[in-house]
Amino acid sequence: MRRRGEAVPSRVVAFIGNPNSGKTTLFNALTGLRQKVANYPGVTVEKKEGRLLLPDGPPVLLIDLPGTYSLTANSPDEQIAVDVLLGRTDHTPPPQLVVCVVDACNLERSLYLVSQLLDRGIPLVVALNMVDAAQHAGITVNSRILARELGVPVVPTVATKRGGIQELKSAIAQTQTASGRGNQWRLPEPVERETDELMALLHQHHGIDGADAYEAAVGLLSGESVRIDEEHRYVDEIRRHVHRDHQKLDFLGFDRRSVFVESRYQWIRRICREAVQQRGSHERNLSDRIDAFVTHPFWGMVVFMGVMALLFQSIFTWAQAPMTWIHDGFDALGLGVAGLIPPGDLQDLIVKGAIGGVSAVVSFLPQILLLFFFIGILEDSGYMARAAFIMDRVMGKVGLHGKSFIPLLSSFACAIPGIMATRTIESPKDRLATMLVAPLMSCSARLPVYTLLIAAFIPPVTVLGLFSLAGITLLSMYLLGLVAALASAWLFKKTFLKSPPPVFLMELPQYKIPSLKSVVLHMIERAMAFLQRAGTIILGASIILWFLATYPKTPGTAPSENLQHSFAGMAGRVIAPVIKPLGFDWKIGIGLVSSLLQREVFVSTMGTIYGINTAQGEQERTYLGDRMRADKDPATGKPVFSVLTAICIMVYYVLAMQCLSTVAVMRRETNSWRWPLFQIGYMTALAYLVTYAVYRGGLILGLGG
Amino acid sequence: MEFSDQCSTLGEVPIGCDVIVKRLRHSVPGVSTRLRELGICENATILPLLRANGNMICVVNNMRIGIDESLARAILVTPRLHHVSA
Repeated sequence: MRRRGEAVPSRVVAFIGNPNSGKTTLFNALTGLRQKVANYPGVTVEKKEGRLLLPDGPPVLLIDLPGTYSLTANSPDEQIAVDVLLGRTDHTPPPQLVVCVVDACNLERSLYLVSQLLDRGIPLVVALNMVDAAQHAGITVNSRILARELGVPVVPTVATKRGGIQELKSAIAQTQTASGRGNQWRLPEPVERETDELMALLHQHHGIDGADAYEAAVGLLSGESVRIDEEHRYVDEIRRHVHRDHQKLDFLGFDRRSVFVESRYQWIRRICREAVQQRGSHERNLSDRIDAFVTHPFWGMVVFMGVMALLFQSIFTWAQAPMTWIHDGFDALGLGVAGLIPPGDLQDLIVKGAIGGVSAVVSFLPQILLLFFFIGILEDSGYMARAAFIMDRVMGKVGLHGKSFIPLLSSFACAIPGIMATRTIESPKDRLATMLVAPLMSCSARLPVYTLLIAAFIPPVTVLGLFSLAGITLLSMYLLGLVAALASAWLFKKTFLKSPPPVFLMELPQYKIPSLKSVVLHMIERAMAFLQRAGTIILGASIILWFLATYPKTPGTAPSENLQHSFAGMAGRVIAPVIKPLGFDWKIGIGLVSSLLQREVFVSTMGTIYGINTAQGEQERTYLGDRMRADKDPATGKPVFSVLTAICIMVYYVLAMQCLSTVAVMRRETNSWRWPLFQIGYMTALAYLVTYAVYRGGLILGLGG
Repeated sequence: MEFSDQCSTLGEVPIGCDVIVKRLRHSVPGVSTRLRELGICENATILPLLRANGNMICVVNNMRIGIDESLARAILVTPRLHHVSA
């Protein structure tokens, strides 16, 4: 949204390029903080826009498109890049100029996309990025020769050091029209003849022309003959013509599937012979030596586990202090507001409903920030791609791609960014399977539930003289979630999400020192997206749940009694017969209902039931554990809580879908209610059945009572 | 199209030996297209760098690419020294 007084952008310029080409770093260098991140309508791909201020004239609107290797889209990210580039969307104006960022170290591969952009006749500037890294690798690219061969301006840049930025701005300002040289690469003459004839027919019968006709012709000529008959969108004459073309080209010895791509690469290789000087063939470099270690079958796993341990340490330990500060800050805010508003419903609504709800979201921020910081470091350094490479074997056993491990990893902090991270997975079915199982990874909201119950009910004994039973119990809950996630993914991929086994094909970028600026910028973007998405839902839901847990009010009663007679209390009693087979009573039922907002609310709900203010710290939570252990069922005289009950509650929390925010994000990411409702259904059923089995098994083993 | 007698799959190539891609034969058409777009196309040079648990890391056009066992089996190659242009 344009701010008041800001000049209207004169042009729209799109940034496109292969992944890992430094496109976003260059975009950030050009736009600085004049950026806006939103979502493309109807899809879950981020739209990043910025304003480029030129020395003369009005500003230019820059759009940073998702990275893509070609104009043949293989994922939602790539599809949106192509659609915006070709002006196929209503929500984003077609660009008047395209800046294609190419990696000077990988010019051959990068020029494939450039050749496709030249076909389209869009005004183009090539930013030849990472020239410093290329020189270090013994690669020298003559940008003048490259510009002459391509027929477009080529600007050498070093985005991390803002090298070439002024020259690039000048090129953007001065390039208004296409070079007019169009298709510079040539097909073999017979293939070109047949392609031209087919394009003429497509224009004649279907009104398709230009680059769209070429694309359609290539698809028909390089496709399988048997599939052409299934192309009902084309008239019979075209299908017959294509069959004849197939026979002709096959007879002449052309490999129809590869001739189009191969012709482009022949042209690319000729250009590179002219413009590129390379010192020798590939020499074993630092990246190779590091890869030999980090992808080693044994040492690679050791490194991976070490990196994961550090990540977990940061999320669960280093984030605690700032989380406590945030809690204390909001408590102080609540007290301050309470001092300004007389006691009553309005004060409760604002302090307990609104401020309590916002506090619940913002308290996650340290973990989210740390998670994205470390993921940003791992991605920018190049290690994340290696981690996906290592994990591909494990993920492949359940039918998922190696890339799926990154969203699952993120879900250990919170499933919301985990689900959002699935958009880089190319296969829609793999992506959906990953989204469906991500909430099974024990998120940080479950940790207060685990720690309360483990501290109160698991005996402080040591196993094998080394490991505490409490620690083993905690680890078991995480492993249970992980196993359930992998097993569920396997089942989904074998049944309704069946698809060809995913293939692992992924670029592994050179290792490099991560750019702190890029990582921090990315971290802030992700955190703001989390706050915006989760915050709006949680704020609304917390107010609703506050209402349900407060009304109807019974004047003159203690909070615990009021809770019992509230709507939430009634709901707890209604579901009591349903949860009784799991060893749960109505008090636990109230806890389950209140956990719909956020799982950790279970702790404060138990605190309210037992008259303990758990917000006052560890000491109070210890008292809560004592009260829970001492509580007895008045009808039977048996303890309400036992070791078995505690384990069953934890198992239920591992497996059940209880987070409304995750449901909301799932709805948004899948564009329907079908999959979030399915997710609620299967996870609730899984939680119920497994908890029932654990409870019954525990009773047989004599753990109950 | 005739192939050299030295033709094998990429998965069988020793680490460190430059090879030339002769043919892509993956059963899923989109996969072969994707390979070609990434530079693993007919007559491209590939250098296998390392192998780990069936997956491989190769260098193509100065780009390091990770591929799995099924893709390595689908890429037919011939040793560079024995490659004869058509």
